[in-house]
Amino acid sequence: MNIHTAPISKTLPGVIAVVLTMVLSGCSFSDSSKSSSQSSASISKSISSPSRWSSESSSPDKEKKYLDEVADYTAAYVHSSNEKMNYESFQRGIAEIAAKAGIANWENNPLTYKGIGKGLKKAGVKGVEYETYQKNLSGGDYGKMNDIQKGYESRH
Amino acid sequence: MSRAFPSPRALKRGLAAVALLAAASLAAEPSKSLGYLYVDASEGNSSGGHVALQFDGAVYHFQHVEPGLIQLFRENAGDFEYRYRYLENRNLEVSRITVSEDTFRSLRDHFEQRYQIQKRQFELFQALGHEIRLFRSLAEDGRDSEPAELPIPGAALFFEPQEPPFSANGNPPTARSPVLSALRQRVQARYGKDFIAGKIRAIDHKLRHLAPLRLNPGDFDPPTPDSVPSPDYTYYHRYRDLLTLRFALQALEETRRLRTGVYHAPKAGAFRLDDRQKAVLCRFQKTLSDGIVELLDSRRPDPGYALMVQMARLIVAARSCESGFLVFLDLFVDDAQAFSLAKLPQPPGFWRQLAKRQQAALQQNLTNLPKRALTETGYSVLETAANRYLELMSGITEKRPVRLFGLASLPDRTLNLSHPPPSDLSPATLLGASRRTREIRERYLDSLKRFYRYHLLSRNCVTEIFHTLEQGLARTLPPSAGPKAIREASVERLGGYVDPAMPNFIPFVSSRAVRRHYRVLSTRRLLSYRRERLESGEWKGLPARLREGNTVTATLYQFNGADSLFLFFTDDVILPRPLYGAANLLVAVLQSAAGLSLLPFDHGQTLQRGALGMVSSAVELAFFNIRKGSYRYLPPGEPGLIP
Repeated sequence: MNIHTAPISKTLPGVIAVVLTMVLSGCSFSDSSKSSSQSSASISKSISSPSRWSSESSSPDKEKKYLDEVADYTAAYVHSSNEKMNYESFQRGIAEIAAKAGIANWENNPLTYKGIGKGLKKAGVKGVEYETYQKNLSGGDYGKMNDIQKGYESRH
Repeated sequence: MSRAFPSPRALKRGLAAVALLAAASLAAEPSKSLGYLYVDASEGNSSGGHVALQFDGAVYHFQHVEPGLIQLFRENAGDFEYRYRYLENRNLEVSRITVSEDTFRSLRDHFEQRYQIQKRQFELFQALGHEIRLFRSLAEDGRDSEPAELPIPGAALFFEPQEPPFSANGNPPTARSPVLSALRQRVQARYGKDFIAGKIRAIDHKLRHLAPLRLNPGDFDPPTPDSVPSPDYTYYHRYRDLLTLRFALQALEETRRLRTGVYHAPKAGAFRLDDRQKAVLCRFQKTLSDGIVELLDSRRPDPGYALMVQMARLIVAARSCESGFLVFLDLFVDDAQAFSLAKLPQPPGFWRQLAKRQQAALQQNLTNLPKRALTETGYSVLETAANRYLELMSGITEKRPVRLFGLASLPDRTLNLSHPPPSDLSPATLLGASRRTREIRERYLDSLKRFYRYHLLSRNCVTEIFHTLEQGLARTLPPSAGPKAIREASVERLGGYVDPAMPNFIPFVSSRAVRRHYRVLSTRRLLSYRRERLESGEWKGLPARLREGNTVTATLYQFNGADSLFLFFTDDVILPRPLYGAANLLVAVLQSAAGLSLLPFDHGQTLQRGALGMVSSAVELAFFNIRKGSYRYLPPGEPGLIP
């Protein structure tokens, strides 16, 4: 049975050393929090680090990742919005995700709406509630509604 | 250690049976692994070590943020490894926990959801701070001692930073862009001759009269950690979005040219386009132009930045189409750090080899341009490859510093507007709004502190991983499930339960607890950059060890201003550690003494480094090691965090 009680006697010197050093700085400190203005300065600051100089994603990989990120974001947004969804704030969030994929005009991209549909499914939205989201998020555009439906019906 | 779980033997036997059943069922269904990552202690940031959880290519970890809060972050696994294992030169330990696909998906979705929600909650807090400054700046109408610094992303593609804003009513530039002239004509044909100018006037009117939102402090009280206040599209966002759109429309109305330096038009052979590639980019112009016309009539709140990027891309795509050479926007962020390659410790020929690889990547992207319509993502991948190669190649040939960090997927070119356009609202109204936003922000911060106040022992990067895991497991249970059921679920799904309380809140202790009690398939130690190099053949043998063991003769390390001064590395030796520690302590004492005399000149930075060095050296006297030595830049090596 694996319910854990650490043998503190064996770890005591290490614990003392680490607690001492944790007191100095504790957990990893986020660089982004050092300058709060930077993070909102530009929606495009999704920076690739040198770790990707040797392995940049291909276009299909980036598109798949974009669709999945939109789906995750939509599911989380619906989950956290209680009764009313702030569409302006939702769309700003989509713009930020799109910027990471190099997409400026996300409204023109079917993947956005497929991702939204997938996210609605993930959030367990059904029936009339789903239809309301579908209509509002597509602005009543038939093609976009169709893309949301495709995403909603997709398996993965 | 405190552990509230009542664990009589009978319960343990019961749980053991559950675990056996779970193991049996796990064997029958497809399984995945999630990684528990332990990052060794080091000097400075997270000196006590750090932990994270890896789901495929994404790493989730909690970090301490201002003001005294803790927030969940998500990073690409490669970036996480690069930061900690390479730049910070720390060992990583990866314990792979076997779980069912269902458990994996459920926990990943929970971490992702928590990440998304917290990101919005914390961004709202920052936006309220900007809003306070904006109201004050509007009230003082350009007379304020501390300007608002309103960032307008993308505006510096077309506008000079020192240029007086809103010159649509003043002196537009005489040089025009023929591409934007044609676009403007198209827009006028579609929406009417006065469409753009009319929109500008409407925005100017809105900006002058934009009234603060009628909000109560209570509107911002998130009742649970899972909710985000609905008025999170704040006055600040609204104002900035309108202003950004105003800049975009002005650029189009005045058919402005792109500023010098925001794009590249190299004539080297690597950028030459063949007929097919040229045709693809010529067709892409049409896609961009159609998109811009639609975007001008968009319902989205923030079309301004997208318009400026698309107009800039349209101009460079047209230049590519005309010239037969790839012309592209500069994608490095405005504050990208540049490095002198000669000062970075790399073997001879390293940079040219890297440049060759970037050239090959560019060629591959050009060759793979699709026959059918080029998408924005496809174009962005090409833009990125072109930026990388040009930056490195021109840096090598011109012997200038190279931007090795800070390549974005879209251009940054933020114009920081020090004074927003004047408002018709009275200063009293605006200052009142500033005060009310301050009250809202303070109350909102109290709410955030209820959920996310950082505490060294009870709410840190370790405890929050386990708490979030428990919440994720709870999602798989009925809402009435209590702590006992969650612990049983942990045993069933992860192989055991780890209590995040004392002493498991300490990173390295938690890693051991995970290895002992979760269903860990394997544990892998990924050596820090320096140690990995020392283990490779090139640096084996006593002479090399002696040379690399100290900071004076080492070739694998150059003193980095972020570290305290030290003489000997102690992370790869044990017996001589106290002796080396004594020498390091002496160096740190000397640095501290120098810091005292430099106090009036460097604001105590040297003294602070010296004090940090003294602590790092003192633990070496007791056979412990914290300091590893860090790097400003390193080339990425073989990725170890392969899912």
